Amino acid sequence: MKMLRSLIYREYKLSRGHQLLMLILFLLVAGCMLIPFILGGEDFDPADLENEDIAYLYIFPLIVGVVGGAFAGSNNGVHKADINSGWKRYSISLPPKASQLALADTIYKMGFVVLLGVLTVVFSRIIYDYTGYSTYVFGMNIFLLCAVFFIVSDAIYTYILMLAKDEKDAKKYRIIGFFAVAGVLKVLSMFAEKKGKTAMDYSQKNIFKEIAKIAETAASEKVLAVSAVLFAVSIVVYFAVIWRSYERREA
Amino acid sequence: MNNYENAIELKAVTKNYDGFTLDKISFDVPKGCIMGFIGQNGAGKTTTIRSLLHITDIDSGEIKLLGMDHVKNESEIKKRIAVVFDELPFHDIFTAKDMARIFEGMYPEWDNKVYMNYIERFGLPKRKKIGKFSKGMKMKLQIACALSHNAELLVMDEATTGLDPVVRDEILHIFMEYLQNGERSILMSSHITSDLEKIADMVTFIDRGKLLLTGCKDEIIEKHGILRCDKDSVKNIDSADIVSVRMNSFGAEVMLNDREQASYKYRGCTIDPASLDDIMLYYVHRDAKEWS
Repeated sequence: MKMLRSLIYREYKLSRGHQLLMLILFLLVAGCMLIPFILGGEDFDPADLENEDIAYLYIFPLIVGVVGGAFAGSNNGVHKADINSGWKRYSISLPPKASQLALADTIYKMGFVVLLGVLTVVFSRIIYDYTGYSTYVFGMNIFLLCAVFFIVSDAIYTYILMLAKDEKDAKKYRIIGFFAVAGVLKVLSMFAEKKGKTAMDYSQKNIFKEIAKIAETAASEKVLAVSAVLFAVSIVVYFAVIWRSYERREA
Repeated sequence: MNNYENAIELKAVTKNYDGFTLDKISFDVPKGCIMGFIGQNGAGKTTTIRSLLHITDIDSGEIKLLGMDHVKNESEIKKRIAVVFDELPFHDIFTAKDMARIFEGMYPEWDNKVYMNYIERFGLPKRKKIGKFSKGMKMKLQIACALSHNAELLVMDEATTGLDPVVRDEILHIFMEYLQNGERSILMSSHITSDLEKIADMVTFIDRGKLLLTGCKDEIIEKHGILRCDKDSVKNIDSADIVSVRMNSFGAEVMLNDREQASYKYRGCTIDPASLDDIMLYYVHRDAKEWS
């Protein structure tokens, strides 16, 4: 426990600047999304909303969920800093095992996910207070799915980055990692295009109709259960990948 | 705590890289001893140290630290050893106080009082960011961290390189103090042989991945000698006695591998004692035999 506390403290000290910036940006985005409701004030009457108009309502938690999930799941720069400072190599001579290092990484990442997740729920609560429409499930679904995507991307990127021995190597592997994640993204988008519609289709149609359709699906509690399972799997994948990368020794 | 005779045991350790091979390196560092690990840049000192710390996997051979296998008992070993590298591996944004908070959870025997004593003794600021430290201060901080968890074995890779003589002397003095209880051992790699001459009990010398000498420092120094003669007289010296010959405008300097025997064999010649620096230099040129 003492060991984990030390490792988490180290991560916190190293990434707090980055994460504070992410938090401020998230709050700014969430704040901007609340402006229409605040300005609408008491004139807003939920009864005035027609079915299609509800889509307008979902665009706000959609944006907040995407931004929150992306910030929560994205890389916090600690691994890159460890390679550049020489800590990565030095840490092999220290008592923590690869599993303990990976666990500290994962717990710390989870902590930030939980923080932004709670803020996403708070955002939905504020919308509910203004409109009387519940967007909790929708907001959480978007947040979790986005977080899953970024956590898995981060695991791939970090695994490749951790092949680097030192600062010189890190630059090369960062580029490889970036392209690997971009490659995965491309494959996923190709898959999505086959299954559904292209970006062009969306630009030609009324985007709000599409959002209404997404909202209809994503506001379901069944989908939330799937998102939660996917999120749990992504955390396990992240832990396993980081564990493996800490176990690896230099060639 | 287990009983062990040798803090470090390397048996036929081999590691192949493209263009370099660490070739069957074997040596022991007895408990309570300072082993100087010398060799020129690129000789394989760092590779050996990385192998024994399991930073890199070895291709063959056996490594034991504190009597335990360096891979199977890695976690137990690492609680009881300390490592000092040539460059400070701590992040610039940390302070000396942060390092204490980080290490106290990692090492079961971390002692904050000892750490703070070293910090005060070295005159290091507690709240200043490490990035603003001088090279000497950074090295002192690394040493303070290494000596504050009652480590039985201290492994140092070029730890005194790049430091001024005053700081080097201060650090060497600390190491001598650290060894006083007889239970602790040090492996210190360096190409500054004068430091090792001051404090090492034993010396291991490697060159181009091969082990050339290992043993008691005094015996190695005692055994070798430099015979000074004119260039023509070199041919009268038995080649089996010669490590290598340095030619200069005044004559020749011959490094002999058995000074005592040579003093009987080559009566009338002056054989001067050799320093570790000389021994290293002449062994590095052993293949050329004659060099200038």
